[in-house]
Amino acid sequence: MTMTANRALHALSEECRRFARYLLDAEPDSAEVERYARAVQTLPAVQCGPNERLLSAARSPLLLPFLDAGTSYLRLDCPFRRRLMLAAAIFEASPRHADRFLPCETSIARMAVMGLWTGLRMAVLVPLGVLLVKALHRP
Amino acid sequence: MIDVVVIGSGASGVHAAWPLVKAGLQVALVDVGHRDDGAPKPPGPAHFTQLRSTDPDQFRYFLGDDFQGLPFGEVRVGAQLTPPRAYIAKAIADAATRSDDFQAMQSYALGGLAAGWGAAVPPFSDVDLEGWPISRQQLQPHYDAVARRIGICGVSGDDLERWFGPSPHLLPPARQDSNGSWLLDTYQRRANWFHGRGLYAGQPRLALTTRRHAGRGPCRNLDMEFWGDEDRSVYRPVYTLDQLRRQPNFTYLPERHAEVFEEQEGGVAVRVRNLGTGTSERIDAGHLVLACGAIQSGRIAARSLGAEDTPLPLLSNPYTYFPCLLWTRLGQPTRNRRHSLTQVMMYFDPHRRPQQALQAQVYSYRSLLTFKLLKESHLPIGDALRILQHVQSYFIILGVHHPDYPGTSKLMQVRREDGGVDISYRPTISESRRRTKLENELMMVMYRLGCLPLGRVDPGYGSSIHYAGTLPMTEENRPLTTTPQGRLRGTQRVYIADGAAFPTLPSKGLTYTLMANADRVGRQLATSLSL
Ligand SMILES: Cc1cc2nc3c(=O)[nH]c(=O)nc-3n(C[C@H](O)[C@H](O)[C@H](O)COP(=O)(O)OP(=O)(O)OC[C@H]3O[C@@H](n4cnc5c(N)ncnc54)[C@H](O)[C@@H]3O)c2cc1C
Repeated sequence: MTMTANRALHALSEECRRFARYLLDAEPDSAEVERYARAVQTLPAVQCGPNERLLSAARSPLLLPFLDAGTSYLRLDCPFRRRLMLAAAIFEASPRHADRFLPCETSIARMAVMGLWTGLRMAVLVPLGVLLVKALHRP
Repeated sequence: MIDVVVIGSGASGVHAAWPLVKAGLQVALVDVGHRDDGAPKPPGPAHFTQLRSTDPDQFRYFLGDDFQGLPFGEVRVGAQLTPPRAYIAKAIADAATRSDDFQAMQSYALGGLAAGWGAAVPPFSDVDLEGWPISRQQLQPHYDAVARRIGICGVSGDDLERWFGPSPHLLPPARQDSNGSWLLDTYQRRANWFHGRGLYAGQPRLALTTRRHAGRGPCRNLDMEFWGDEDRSVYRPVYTLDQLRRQPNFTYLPERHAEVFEEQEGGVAVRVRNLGTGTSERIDAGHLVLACGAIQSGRIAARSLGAEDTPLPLLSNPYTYFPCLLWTRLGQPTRNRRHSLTQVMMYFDPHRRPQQALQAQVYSYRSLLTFKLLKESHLPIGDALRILQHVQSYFIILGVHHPDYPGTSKLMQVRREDGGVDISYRPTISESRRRTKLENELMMVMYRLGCLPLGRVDPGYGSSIHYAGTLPMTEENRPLTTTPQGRLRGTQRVYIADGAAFPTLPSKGLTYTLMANADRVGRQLATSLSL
């Protein structure tokens, strides 16, 4: 493998780990990382040039929730959002994370608290996220 | 000497062939017949949640080895087909079907589209058959014969009986899941109110064997119906084909693409392309039955009769999905064992015009996995994942079908230069308005059932995967139509046994009627040949 290919693979592995921490608060195992890298290299729908600014910004774990909120609100079908979805799909189809995806029973009270918490989070994340995405995204 | 050659091994083809074979005639069935291409499948009969928690290779069938199960871009026709079933929509190297406004999903698979269908089998009523030259009474013996052959479960005597009519051969109803029972309980508590608004609901009739039937089933409620056929409880045409192949007077000829036919003294010659060798072959038979799907049968008929430039009508039920939250059930326990098919069937006719009633099918969302929903959600993916885990059990998909009638802007035409098909499908403004209005009215009523619609997804024309009407059955003597007996006008020995012969499409799924009508055409032909 050439140095450049090696570096690209390393970057994708890191991206997968960041997404796992953000989505599941967990570390992916090596099979999931390998699967993610292979998927990005196989699927034209998630590929982009090295200057994709949203993906570059997503290297910062702090910015990830804002980018996710901004692109979701704007319904932006971009490589960043597609890769985040790809990562979610790969984690979902892995027995290690099954309990994070299979439906669970929750009381209405807990759901109400969750709804409230999500609403508050959105109130902060969405406006800042939209600004950030608009500043970074070039169609 | 072949008495009858049937083209197509789908739901129409095998049920047209059955009575011919049973009558002792020599029957050959010509088929492209793509097989399951070895895509990874779930290992043995296991429950969905068990596989999810234990199988390290699950990504291979849930996502596909090449990640083909990931839904990037717009929701398109065939979004329900999972990677193990992708072969059903595999194309062949042939002149293409082209359209700007219609997505036609054609199948060249062994068993056709029903190798991956949803198995809902509502029969057509006399109202549905208005404008057809045959009645429900004439179809009834064939509905009964098909029901006995394939196994249909459901209940008699409920609110849907007025839409379905009686059926003496039902297997016990399928076990309902928690959302289905909740919806039907809510509906039954206020049935008069819902009837006043034109809504009728009940358990669906499904081609699903709930007890052992013809060597299949019973359904084990593994919630894996979209991924595999482990308990063989969902009917697939290949089961009937397997039975036919055990008969000495039946021959299956796969890897052959039928192109044109020519009537000759005392018989029909069919030109087929052998896809294995690439050579052209000729098959001679006494009679020909076209049952290769409405678009393909229309194409072969038009090419053979030199009518390439003549537009043929095309019908397809307009289709819309509504993701909904069953908010009144939030926090209630959910049963784990269930099947993935339709849980509740509804008919909605607020203006007392039953020909325009819509059909709504309720599916509970689980075994198609959460990631497919993320794209449709307006929430950030991280938050959507957390929330979906808690509300997924109360999440349903409402699939709505509308009826379709022929019109001057819904046409297909065979291209003379390469034999491919051009489709132009544009419903009139009043049809589109009526569709939206009815859907809005339905959503208001669904709200009273405790359903909160979260969005509306229109996958585009053609996405119902119900195609019909290209060579309609009529009493009138017009070219490129079919007689009530199924004979293609302009021919003496060619019969149409698939949706091509349907002059209209009610909102109900058409496949049970495809099978019953194919049985009728086959049986009548068998009788006339035995005389
Ligand atoms: C995901 C999905 C869910 C569905 N759910 C339902 C449902 O719940 N209820 C319902 O009523 N319907 C449903 N349908 C639709 C149903 O599957 C079809 O209406 C039905 O299978 C059509 O059967 P057919 O035999 O007429 O045609 P097809 O299934 O299209 O079969 C065509 C056959 O002809 C062969 N063939 C085609 N062209 C040629 C040629 N030129 N030469 C030789 N062979 C040829 C093919 O190999 C194939 O065997 C669903 C479909 C799908 C895909």
